Order: sequence, then structure tokens, then C-alpha cells
Amino acid sequence: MYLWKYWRESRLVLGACLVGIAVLLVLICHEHLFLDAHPRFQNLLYILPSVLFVQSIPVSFVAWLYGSFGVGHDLGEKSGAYIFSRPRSRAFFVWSDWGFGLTQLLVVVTALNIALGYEVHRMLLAVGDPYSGGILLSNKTVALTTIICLNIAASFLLSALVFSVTYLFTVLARHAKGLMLGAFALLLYLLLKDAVKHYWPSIILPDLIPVEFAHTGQEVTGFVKDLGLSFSIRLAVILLFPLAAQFLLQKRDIE
Amino acid sequence: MSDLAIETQSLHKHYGAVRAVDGLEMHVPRGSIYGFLGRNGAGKTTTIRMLAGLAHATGGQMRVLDLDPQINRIQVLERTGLVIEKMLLSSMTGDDLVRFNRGFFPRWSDTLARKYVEVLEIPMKRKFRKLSTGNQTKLCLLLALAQGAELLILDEPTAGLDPIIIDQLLRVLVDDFANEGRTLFLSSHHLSEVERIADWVGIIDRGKLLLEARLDDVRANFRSVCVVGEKLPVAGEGDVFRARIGEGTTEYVVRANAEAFTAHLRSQGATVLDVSAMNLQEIFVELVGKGEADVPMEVLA
Repeated sequence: MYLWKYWRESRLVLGACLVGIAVLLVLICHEHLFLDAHPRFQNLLYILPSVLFVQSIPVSFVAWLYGSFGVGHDLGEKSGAYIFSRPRSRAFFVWSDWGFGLTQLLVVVTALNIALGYEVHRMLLAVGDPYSGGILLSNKTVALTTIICLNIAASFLLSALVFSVTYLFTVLARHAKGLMLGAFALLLYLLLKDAVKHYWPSIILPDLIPVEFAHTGQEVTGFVKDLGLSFSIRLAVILLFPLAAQFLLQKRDIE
Repeated sequence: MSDLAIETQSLHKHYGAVRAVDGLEMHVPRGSIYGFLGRNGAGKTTTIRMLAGLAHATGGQMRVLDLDPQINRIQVLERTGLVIEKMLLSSMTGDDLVRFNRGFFPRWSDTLARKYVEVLEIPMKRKFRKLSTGNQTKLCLLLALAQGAELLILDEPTAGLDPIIIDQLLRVLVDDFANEGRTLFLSSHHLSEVERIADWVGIIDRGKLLLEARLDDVRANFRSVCVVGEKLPVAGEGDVFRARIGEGTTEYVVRANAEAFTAHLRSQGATVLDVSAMNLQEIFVELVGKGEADVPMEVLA
């Protein structure tokens, strides 16, 4: 029943995203995108990171919006006493919000990357599909489906991070306005990363966007070289935010 | 199984230097209608929030239906209906809220829910935020009643309601809930309503319980005595709770044994002008209305 409540709150955003992706797909099918503008797009190597970077902004925005749903929003609406007097643990509410939010984000990210992958597929066809459905990266042919899967994973990690940070901040602020604090925290991290890079060049803080996923076949950049390890570490970091939200709610009085 | 539905021992809740609840000792018998009375800020809502597991106690112990709500919060909530904030999920209609609530309570009754929709005349198709205050309260009550609770805890259920709705709600609470042997605990500062339905009262002020007793015992024991005379006793002596010296007369409030007290006054040459019973309103004002912080707790029953 609680998931049904979350679904009611978030379905408009999910619906809008899926409609947007459907429109994008229609445009791709009718060759209205940059395929027309660049019928002989030669350097596909740079398309893949570009696909990830281009989607990072809308995906982050959607993830940021998702952070406003759930118990933080309820606390702001003064219905926290009602929600938390239902016979469930506080952890139940946090992990239901977080799990269902992430599931919806995964749907959005997957749909978006399938659409974008289809665009790359059409571009490959436009240049004669020289590597039989794959792309040459550092003298290695990588299948397009592999690349789409990696992009989904990278984009999902980014959205999960933004979502988890903003979710924690809405709980912390006891209001959906905690979204702004979440955005501020992410911005602060970006500034910190640049400052660290400037003053201590030997220290490299990880990017918010997991760029290493877009450089498969090349020398992998970032703070880990193994994608599985990178995925695990990022996931572990992401998990800290709902854990912190749960801890906060368990320690705090509900008003 | 204990005879008490709710029991607190030396319960404390502090917010920094503020002692919202300060050593509360409360005993709510099973099957009773217990009126928890106090002024605004006396500690009623804080106590209820602790009983519901929404707030952590700073110290002391509490038992709700033989369970500690700090440890067995979920089991307590499954068996207890709560109306605290009267703010549900604002974007949901009454029907949505019934659907939402149903999944949480194993003893939920759709039959009861439908019955109260009819009895209380609640527009179930309208969003919660668009309902009037009265209908919002009715809906909160419906959800609490339909969950099949053994204990119903209501925080200021009649605040902001008109007399007709208050009458309707009180009838439902007494006829449909309390008469079935279940416990009803309601906080209020509307004394006339509590006096109408409660059989037990607890009066809290500044986080301490000043009085806990059967309402009939309170009515039977508290007396206002008006006297003319010299060298009369002062407050604090025996059962004299308060002595107010006016122009020529002294007005006493005695907590018990009024007949013995008046006999004692007469034996000292005083003239007793009047001995009158006090209603709950008058007793409440005497107990908490004068800013007496350290009045000892009364247990009359």
C-alpha cells in the first residue's frame, strides 16, 4: 500500500519522462535529429561519452525531482505523524521510497539509453556499419548492446547518486525544499573537486558522472580501473545516503 | 494481562531546558474513557507522541497494552488507533486513504469503514485538503475506528469543530467504541465534552499529573466551602486545597471530607455560609488556573 502512495506521487514524473523519450524515439525514427545534420558522422568514438554527458543533465534533473517524493515530503506536509504511526518500522518507509524511486529511475534511464542506442545504430548504418553492429574503440570492436548496457549502468549510477543525496536532504530538512539543499551539496562537491584538483593535483576525486563506463576499450580513467569494482564502490557510496536517512529518522522525534 | 491499558512511570521528555513532560505517573484502566486534561502546552500532545512511538522519552517507562512503545512500537501501533495531527495525506481522497490504510492493519474492517462513512456523512470522493475541518476530523476518526483497535488515543479530537459535529463524534466514540469494552484515551481542554463522556480524568500541568481519579469520585469529593469567622485554617492543612480570603468571608476548596471539615470549622466558632459541589471546570481551574506548579498529585480512587 505504501508503494501505491509513492506511485501516486511520482507517476506524473515517470509518465512525462516516458512520453518525452517516446517523442525522442519518434524524432529519431523520422531522422529529425543530428543524423540529418551530420550524415557522414565519422568519429563515432566521441559519440559514446557524448551520449552519456548529454543525458546526464536531464537524468540528473529527473533524479533530483524524485528526491522530493517520500517521507521528507510528508514531514513537510505535516503528515509525518500520520505516516509514522502506521505499524511499520521507519526503515520500511525509507527503503520503500528509495527502492521504488530507483526502480522508476532505472526504467527511465533504460528507456532513454535504448532510444539513444537506436540513434547510434542508425548512425552506424548511415556510415555503412563497418564493424557489424559494433564500434571500434582502441582497436577493439565493442558491440553496441554492450555499450548501451554500460551507458545504462553509468547513467543509473549518476541518477541513483543524485536521487539518494536529494532524498537524504529532504529528510534532513523535513521538507521537499530539501531538494535545493541536495542540489547545493552536489554543486559544492563539484567545486571541491575542482579546488582539490587545482591545489593538490595528485589527488583526484571521482567524477559524479562515472566516465570510466564510457571509455571501455580505452585506457580507463577515473579512480578505479575495473568497472565491476567501480560499480560496487559507487553503489556502496550511494547506499550510505538512505542509510543515513534511516538513521536520522530513527533517532529523531516525528513532528 | 495488566488491568491498565496505559501506564507511565516517571516519564520525562525534555527539550533542552524545557521539561515538556516531567515525571508523569499515569494509569489508564482498560475499558475506561479517560479524559487527559490540561492547558495548551501542559504536555498532553508530547505524552501522546511518546505513547505512539513518535517521540523518544528522555527518561522513565511506559506501557501501552502491556508493551513498551519504545521497543514494541509496531505491535503497539497495530492495536492502537491514533488521531494526533489530524493531517493525513492531503492529495488523497477519503476512498484513497481507506485503501492506503487498509494494507497496514490486519484487523481492518471495510464494513466498519462503510458504516462510519454513512453515520458521519463524510464526502469520500473529495481530496483531504479540500475537506472542511470537521470532515477532516471525521475521516481521521473513521480510519482509526475501522482498523479494529483495542485502544483509541485521540489528541484534541474536537478542537475547532462545531457543536453538532462534536455531538456526532462523541456519540460514535461512546456508542460504537467504548461501549464494547475498549479503551478510549482523549486529550482535551474542552472540559464539558470530557465531563460528558469520561469516567476517568487525569489533569496534567507543566508536564506533571496533578490529579488522576474517577470522575464520579472527583465530583463527590471536591467541595467549595464559604465561611465567616476568625483564626481559620489556611491552605495545605488537612484536605484544604485552597483558601481564598475575601472581604469578610473565606472561600475554601477541599479535596475530600467536606463534612468533617465544616464540622471542624463550626466547632471553632465559624459560620459556614455555603457548601457546594464543584464541576470539572471549576476543579480544573482551581488545580491549574493559578499557576501552582508543585501541587501534589491526587489519586482519589
